[in-house]
Amino acid sequence: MIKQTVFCGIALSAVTGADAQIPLTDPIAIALPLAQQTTDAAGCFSENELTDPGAKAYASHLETRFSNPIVLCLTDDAEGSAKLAQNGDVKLAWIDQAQAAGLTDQWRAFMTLRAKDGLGRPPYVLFTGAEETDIREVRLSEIAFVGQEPERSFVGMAIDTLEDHGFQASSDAVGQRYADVQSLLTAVRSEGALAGLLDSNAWGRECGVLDPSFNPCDDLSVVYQERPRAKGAMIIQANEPSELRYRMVSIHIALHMEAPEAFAWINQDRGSEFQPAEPDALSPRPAIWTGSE
Amino acid sequence: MAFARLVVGLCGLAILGLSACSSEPTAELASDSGDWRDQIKTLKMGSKASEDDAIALRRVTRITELLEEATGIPVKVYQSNDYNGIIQAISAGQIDVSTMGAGSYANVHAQIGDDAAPILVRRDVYGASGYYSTIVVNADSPFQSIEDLEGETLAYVDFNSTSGYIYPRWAMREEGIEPDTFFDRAAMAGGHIQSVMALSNGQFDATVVAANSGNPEIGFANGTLQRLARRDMIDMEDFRTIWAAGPIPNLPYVMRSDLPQELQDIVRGAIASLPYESPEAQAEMGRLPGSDYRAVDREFFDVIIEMRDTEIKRHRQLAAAR
Repeated sequence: MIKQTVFCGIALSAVTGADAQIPLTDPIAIALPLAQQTTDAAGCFSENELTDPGAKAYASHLETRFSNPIVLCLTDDAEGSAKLAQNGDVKLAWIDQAQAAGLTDQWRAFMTLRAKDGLGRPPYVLFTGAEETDIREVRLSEIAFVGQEPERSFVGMAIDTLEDHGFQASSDAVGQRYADVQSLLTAVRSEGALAGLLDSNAWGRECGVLDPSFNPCDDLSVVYQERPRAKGAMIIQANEPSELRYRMVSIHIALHMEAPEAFAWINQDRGSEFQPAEPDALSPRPAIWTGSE
Repeated sequence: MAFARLVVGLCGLAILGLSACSSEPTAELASDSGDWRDQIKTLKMGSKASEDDAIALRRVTRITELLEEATGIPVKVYQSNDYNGIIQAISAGQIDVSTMGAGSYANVHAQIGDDAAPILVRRDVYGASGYYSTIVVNADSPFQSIEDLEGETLAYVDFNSTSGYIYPRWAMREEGIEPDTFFDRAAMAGGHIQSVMALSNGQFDATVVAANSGNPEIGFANGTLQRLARRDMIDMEDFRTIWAAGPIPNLPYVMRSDLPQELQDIVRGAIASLPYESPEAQAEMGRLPGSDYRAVDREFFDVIIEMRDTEIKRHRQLAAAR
C-alpha cells in the first residue's frame, strides 16, 4: 500500500541560506537607460510621479509584486545608468557591455533579454583535433561550423564567441560548413578543419555528456565552452542577498505574459522575453587569438 | 472496463494520497503583512524519482539544496511511486511544488483549477520546450512502422501519462489510426520502465515510451531507453523506434497558487537561474548543456487539457454504450 501513496519525506540537507532574506523597507531603485523612450525626463521617479503609461505599468507591477515602493531612475544612456550604479544610488541597473569593465568587481549580471528570434545565449564549444594545433593561429576559414538548420541559425552567435576572444571576423571568410555534426567531427578529427565550433546541445548529444562513464570525444581538445557575451544586462550588487535577484528574475521572465504593457515599455522591441544570465555575462573575455584572416 | 480503471485511478488513489500525509495544511493564504516566513515554515516538494535512478535522485537533491538556500526554509521531499500520488497531493494542498507531466497537470487543473499553476518548463538551446512520445519494438521484430502493428499488442504507460498514453492516442487518431480498435490488445504497464521491461519480456509487441533532448530528425540524447541503458538494465541495440509524435509540452514545475507571492517568485526565480548560475549542475541533473527554463502559464497546456478531456469523454461514451 505504501507504494501507492505519498509518504512524508526527508529533509535532504540543512538550510544554508540564512542570508537569503532581505528586509525590504527602502524603495527599490532601478536605473534604466530609457529616458529618451518615455514622456518622463531623465531622473528618478516613484510610481506616482511617472507619467509615461508604460513606465507606470512597469513600476506598478513591481510594486504590487514586492509590496514595496519602486523608484525608476531614467537615464539617457547605459553610461548614465552605470554611473548611478557606481555611485550606489540604485540597487539594480541595466547597462551595456561597454560599461561592464568598471563595475565587474562589485556588480554582477543576472538577467538579459532573449533575442527577438527566440534564441537564447547557448554555450558554444570550440575544440581542436590534433594536439599540435595552435588555436592562436587558426583562421576563420579553418574552423568548421554546421551549416544546416537548426544549427545554422547559431553561426552568428558562434562567431560572436570567437570575437569575444579577440578573433577578427570581418573578412569575407565564413568558415567551413558541414551538413551535420557527425561530418564536422569527422573533418576535425581528420584535420580537414583545424577546429570546430558547436552549440553545447549538439556537443552534448555527440559527446555523451550525460554519461560520465563514456566520452566519445576524449580525442578532442576543448578550447572553451561558454555563452556569447551579452550585449546588455540587468546588474545587481554582487553581495546583495539572492532573494531580490530571484524575485526579480521570476517577475521578469514572465513579464511578457503577466504584464504585457510593462514588458513592451522596458523591452522597446529589443527582445522576445527576459531570461536569467550568468554573473559574468557582460565581462570581457581573455584574448586568445594572435592570427588574422 | 478501461473507463472503470480510469475512475479507480483518479479517485481511489486520491483517498490513499490524502490519508498518507498528515492533515497539516501546506500553506496559509498569502498575506500582504509581515514576512511570509512567519506563515510558511517548510516547503513541501513532490518527487516521483525512483530510488534506483541516480540522475533523478541527483535532480531532487540539487533542487532541494537550491530551494533551501534560496528560501531560507527547510524543503521536505515527498516521494510518490506513481503519477496519482503527486496529482492528489498537490490538489489536496499536501505538497507545494512538484514537477509532473503535462497530462498530470491537466488532471490537477481539472480538480482545482487555478489553485495550482505551471510556472516553468525546460527549454532546449533551439528554443523548443517539448519532448516526444515514441513507439518502440524489439530490434529483431519484423515491425518497421506503426502500420505494421495492426492487430498486435501495445503497452501504454499509465492513464495519467502524457507521453505514454494521452498524447500518442491523440496523435494516432490524427494519423487516422483508432487506437481502441487498431491493436489486438493494449494495456497499462504501470510506468515507463515497466513498459520497456514488458516489451523485452515478450508480453507486448510494442510499447510507448518518452524520448527527449532531440527530435526525430537528429535523434534523441535522452529518454526512457537511454535512462535504462545508463543503468545497465537494457542494451539500446536491442530496441528500435518506429514512430514518434510530438513535441509534447515539457514537464512543468507546478506550484500551489495560494502560497505567498514572494515564495512563488523565489522558487521560480531560483530554478530558472540555476542553468546560468550553476552550469555544472546541468550535467549532474542529466540536462544537456545550454538548456534552461522558460516561464509558462496554464495556456501553454491548453492543448493537453483538451486532449485529456476528450479522452475521458470518449471513455465515458464507450462505457455508456456498453
